[in-house]
Amino acid sequence: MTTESASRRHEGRYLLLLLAIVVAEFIVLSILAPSTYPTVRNLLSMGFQLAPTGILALAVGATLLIAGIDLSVVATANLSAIAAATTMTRLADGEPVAAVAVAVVAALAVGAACGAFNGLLVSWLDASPIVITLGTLLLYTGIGTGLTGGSTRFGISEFQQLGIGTVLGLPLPFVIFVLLAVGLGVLTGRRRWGFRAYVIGASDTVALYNRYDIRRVQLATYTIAGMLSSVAGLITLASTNAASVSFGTSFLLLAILVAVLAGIDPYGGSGRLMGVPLAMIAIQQLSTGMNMVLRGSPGANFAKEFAWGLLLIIVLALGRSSAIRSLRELITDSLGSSAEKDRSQMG
Amino acid sequence: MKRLLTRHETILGLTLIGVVVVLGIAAPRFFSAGHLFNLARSSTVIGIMALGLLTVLIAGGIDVSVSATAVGSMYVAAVILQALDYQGPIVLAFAIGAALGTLLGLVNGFLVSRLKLPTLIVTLGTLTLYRGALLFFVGTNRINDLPAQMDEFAQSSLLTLTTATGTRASVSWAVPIFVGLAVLLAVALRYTEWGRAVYAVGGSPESARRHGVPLARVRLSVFALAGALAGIAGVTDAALIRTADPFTLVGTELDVLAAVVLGGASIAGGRGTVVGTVLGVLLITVVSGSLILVGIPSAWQQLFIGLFLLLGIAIPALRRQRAERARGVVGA
Repeated sequence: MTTESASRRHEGRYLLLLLAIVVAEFIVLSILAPSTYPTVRNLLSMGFQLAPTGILALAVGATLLIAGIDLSVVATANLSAIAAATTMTRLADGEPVAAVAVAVVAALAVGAACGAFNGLLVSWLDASPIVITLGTLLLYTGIGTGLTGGSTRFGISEFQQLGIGTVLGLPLPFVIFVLLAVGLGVLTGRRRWGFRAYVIGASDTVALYNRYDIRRVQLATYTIAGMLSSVAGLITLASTNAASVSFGTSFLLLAILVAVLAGIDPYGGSGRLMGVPLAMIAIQQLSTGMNMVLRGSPGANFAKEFAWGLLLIIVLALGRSSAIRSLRELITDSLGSSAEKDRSQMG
Repeated sequence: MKRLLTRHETILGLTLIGVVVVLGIAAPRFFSAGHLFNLARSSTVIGIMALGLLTVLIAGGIDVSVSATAVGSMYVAAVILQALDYQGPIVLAFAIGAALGTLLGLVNGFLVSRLKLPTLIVTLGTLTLYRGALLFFVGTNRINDLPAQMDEFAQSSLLTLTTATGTRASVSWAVPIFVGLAVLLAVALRYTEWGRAVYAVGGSPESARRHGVPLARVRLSVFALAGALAGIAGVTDAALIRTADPFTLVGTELDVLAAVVLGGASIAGGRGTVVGTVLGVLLITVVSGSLILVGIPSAWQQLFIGLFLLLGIAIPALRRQRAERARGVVGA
């Protein structure tokens, strides 16, 4: 039995732990508010709300895997949404379906271009992806602000139908999010490309000695992150019918929090993108729960910010502190059946 | 001579002069005492925060929570002074602000140095945490009745000129505070054992450790210093606008970081100078404060800051790569 499969099994157990957290949260909140929480209406509303942040978390998570980071995801999402809104209102006189289709393509193209630009800079410059994507965050926000003058752009009602639509009773944005997570999970989990991404994330030197084309993987990953961001931007545009450069500035932190909570190592090289939907649901339940407790209080949003920041640090500290890590392993071990216990795993 | 010409600070200084000349030709009003004094004033708050962030970067970390630390310390200091109905010298406001900032900085430093957490993500977390805590637990109201001394201090100035048109332009007292702190930090970084330890920890933690440098303590100290300077910057900001506003300075951490990186500090640690940072701060303030003079709407401000930041990263990186290739280093 190789260490590779051992770490995969460990990651599998961590997903079970996340699932347990989601179920526990659901039960507690349902007991606290039996008439409002476990209702179809509330669950649907949570499903609509969590999709954009969840997709941004996938984008951040993908770049964390290769030991990078993309801080420009929200800026890219907003710029894409502005491009889409502008395109569809310009073309709205003709066939609305065609206008929406062109607008979606335009948004994805903007996302891909922003992501590819990040990827080119990260792969060609010997500089930290933190400062590079911080620079492009300012650049993309600056372009969006310059083009719109900081004002809000509106979409058309035909597109809004998509934002509030359901598939088989599930919110369409939620379905898109889960499909993207599963697709990326399979891509990074099984394909050779995914394996190389993990190696690059774990060690540049090893990747170099194996003659992996690090630059190509970086370019591809950042481009994918950019396109994911534009999907998040499109979903926000569809559900609010509005696009602006100042949307969702706090989503960047939330996306990083979700990616780290999903078990993706912020230093790169390990974690599963499949965990992102579970982590996102856990965070969304917490937010909804806090909203219920603090209902009417004007500071509910600030309390949520406080809680997210605190949670991010706690999750990181738990992952780092060795005493607690062994406790976590103990819990995840007992969650997996004892017959599956992996003997090759060293301390 | 050649070395002096190719230094990052020299290039940055020449760029700044170039930008100033172009702006001055395009808009003669640029050289009015009023506009120049305004630029100096608006560079102080970002500048004081930048000095703290520079120290953290040299030691190999990053701190994006400086803006939240600044606002948090400033607002809590204002609340305390208001509750005490304090009317004494303004020094106490700065002392409380700096003390609270140090405390918040120590929290960052503890998380980074003891728990060995990635500094960007930790300080992003504390950025949100400090802001959320301030607005949820302390308050969201603007405090306008600051101590009378603070008000007086805001209006007092170092030097007042009356221009030909009769308008008065004055150099704010905040400018010498910024300059003084910059000189102090430059001396400390260059001539003290602590300063050399900061560069050593950022440049190569392993060899610093082997030379007996206490890594954790140095890391803790740079975050504490960044917090203290942020606290001072926050109180300066409140005194300048004569209001303690808990919603102010949101997002300035990006401008501060842009200024420091533009000034030649590397996020990988071990590199960066006070002179470079001050030039970076000036370049960013001059550009974003003067676009409107040459007819570019201020909405494009961020675009220019982003472009400058990317150029500030790309040019040294490409020069380094070319130098390495010339030395025959193969690989990445």
